[in-house]
Amino acid sequence: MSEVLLRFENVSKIYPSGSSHLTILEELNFSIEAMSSVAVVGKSGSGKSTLLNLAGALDRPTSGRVLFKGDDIGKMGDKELSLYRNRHIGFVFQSHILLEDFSALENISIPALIMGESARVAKKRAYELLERVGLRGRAHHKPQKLSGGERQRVAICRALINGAQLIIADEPTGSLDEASKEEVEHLLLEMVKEEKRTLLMVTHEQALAQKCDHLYLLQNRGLTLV
Amino acid sequence: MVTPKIAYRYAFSKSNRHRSASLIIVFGLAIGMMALITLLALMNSLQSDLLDQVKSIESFHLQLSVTSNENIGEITQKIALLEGVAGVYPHVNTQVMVGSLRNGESSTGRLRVVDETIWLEENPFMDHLFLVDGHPPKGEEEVALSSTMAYKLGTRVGDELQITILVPGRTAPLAPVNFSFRVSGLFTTSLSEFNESTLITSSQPLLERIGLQRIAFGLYLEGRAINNSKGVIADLKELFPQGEVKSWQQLNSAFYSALTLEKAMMYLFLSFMFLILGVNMKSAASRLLFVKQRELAILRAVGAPKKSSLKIFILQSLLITSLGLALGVASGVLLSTHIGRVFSFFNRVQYLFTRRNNPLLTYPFTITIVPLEIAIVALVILLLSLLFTYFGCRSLLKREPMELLNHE
Repeated sequence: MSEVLLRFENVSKIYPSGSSHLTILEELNFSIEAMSSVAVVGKSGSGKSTLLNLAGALDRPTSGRVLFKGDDIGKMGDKELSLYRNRHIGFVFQSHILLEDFSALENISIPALIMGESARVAKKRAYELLERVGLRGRAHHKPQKLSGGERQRVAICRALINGAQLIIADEPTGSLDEASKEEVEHLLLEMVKEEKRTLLMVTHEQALAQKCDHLYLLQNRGLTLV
Repeated sequence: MVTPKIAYRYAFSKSNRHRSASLIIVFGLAIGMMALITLLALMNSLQSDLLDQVKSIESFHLQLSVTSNENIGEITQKIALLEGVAGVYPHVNTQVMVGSLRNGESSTGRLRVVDETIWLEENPFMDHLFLVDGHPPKGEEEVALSSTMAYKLGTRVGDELQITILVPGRTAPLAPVNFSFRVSGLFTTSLSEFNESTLITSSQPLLERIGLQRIAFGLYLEGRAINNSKGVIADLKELFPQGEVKSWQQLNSAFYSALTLEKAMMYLFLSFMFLILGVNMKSAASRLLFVKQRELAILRAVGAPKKSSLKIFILQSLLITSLGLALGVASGVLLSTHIGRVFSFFNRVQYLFTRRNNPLLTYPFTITIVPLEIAIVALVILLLSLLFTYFGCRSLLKREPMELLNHE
């Protein structure tokens, strides 16, 4: 049995909505084992992205605990949280969010530079990753000069550069054309497997979800293993 | 090292999509700073010019009124021996009726009876006095009057004048007494008030007839140190315990108050300019942060701590503000030093259309640039800019990264 990397314990997320409240997640309990791949499917507005944001410490639960290797993320201060995001989490967002003023190479290097790596080491590692995703020739291109699939490949490289144990992907192929979808799907799963990372992914794509080790359905504010 | 790199990229790099916003802010700051420096330089100089003129013409540095049995000569000698005193001039400063015996014209005037030596020595009084015709009054029978008054009376050098003055009488407190003088010279000064109504004579009999109660002793201080007269005032009070000493500020309280009011108004005006600059800077800081809040969220998502994120935007603001201020200072100093040419150019343009010179644009403006003032203004602007950025950024950092991303 593998080590539990991430655990949700009675996690609820409630957003204020005018004078009332909107409960997105309620008393959620589930865990993710290290080096596994988990897909979460569900209808739009069911709380999939909220779940990912809580896992990546981009948001805080209203109640309950999110534990990473046994450490409660909710109790972390800003410094620890930043370290957690920088070293243990790699994000791949649906809208391939990159820093628009920086080249592909710089976008990939920045997490490493924040971690304290020298510019030389960060650049070297970024080039290696770009090579692996077939974008070495596009290293100095700005995001606006890249196609959707290329941007998503850059985002995957950025997620992997610091050796993050948990890769969080929110609809990674959601905004791509068919050809790019297949390419990015393949790349993401292959790299996660090769680098022995853990993947937590939200997707609408059944085919992609089926390729993961575990598949959960998020409905009625709770998760069900499919 | 990543923080300065990102900050520079967000400030001026060609790669920055929002570079134009930074450049507009730099340009706006430079214009504001240039306007402030030019205004300060002009106002400082105008005030200093005015102060110099008032100091030189209106009065002595100190005035002493005494009630003593000693004669005027003895008192003058005693005062002249005091440390820090450059000159002592007994004088009368009183309203009189002036009439020309040649044509019967009359006018009111302000009679200043001073010792004739005041014309012979170099002193602030003489700095701004220009003898247009004739010579300074000598002896008991001569008087010099301002050229404007001479024009009003239709008087020339050599004419006879009758001056009527109120002196203490035997049966009434004051009684009119006439004195006759010959016009020895005509003068002009740099202040219109004196050109209108001043007469100068060195008549000893007039001084004696008026009585010591209405005679004041005017003092000039060594080095014209009007703001450092405490020592001389103390000595005078010791020498003449019953006497009354008035400083230049007290004697010219009306002028002084006007100058103080003018200065206060200038600072009020400057404060409004600062307020306008401040509002613009606040909106500029908000704009810079607003366009980059998505970037801020991404940086936070990939592990940039709040402190580093704050540093990036503070540094960005520092770079933009410093460049704006540097350009503003350079252009402000340049404009100030060439303000005469600029006004002259506008005057020429106006002349083309109106065929008249604009008195404001042809005024011989001088400028006084005070580096400390510029440094203070620049520092205040810099601090305001950093504060607005700090508080703006801090409020953004209170939000979770996901909120900022979703806001997009």
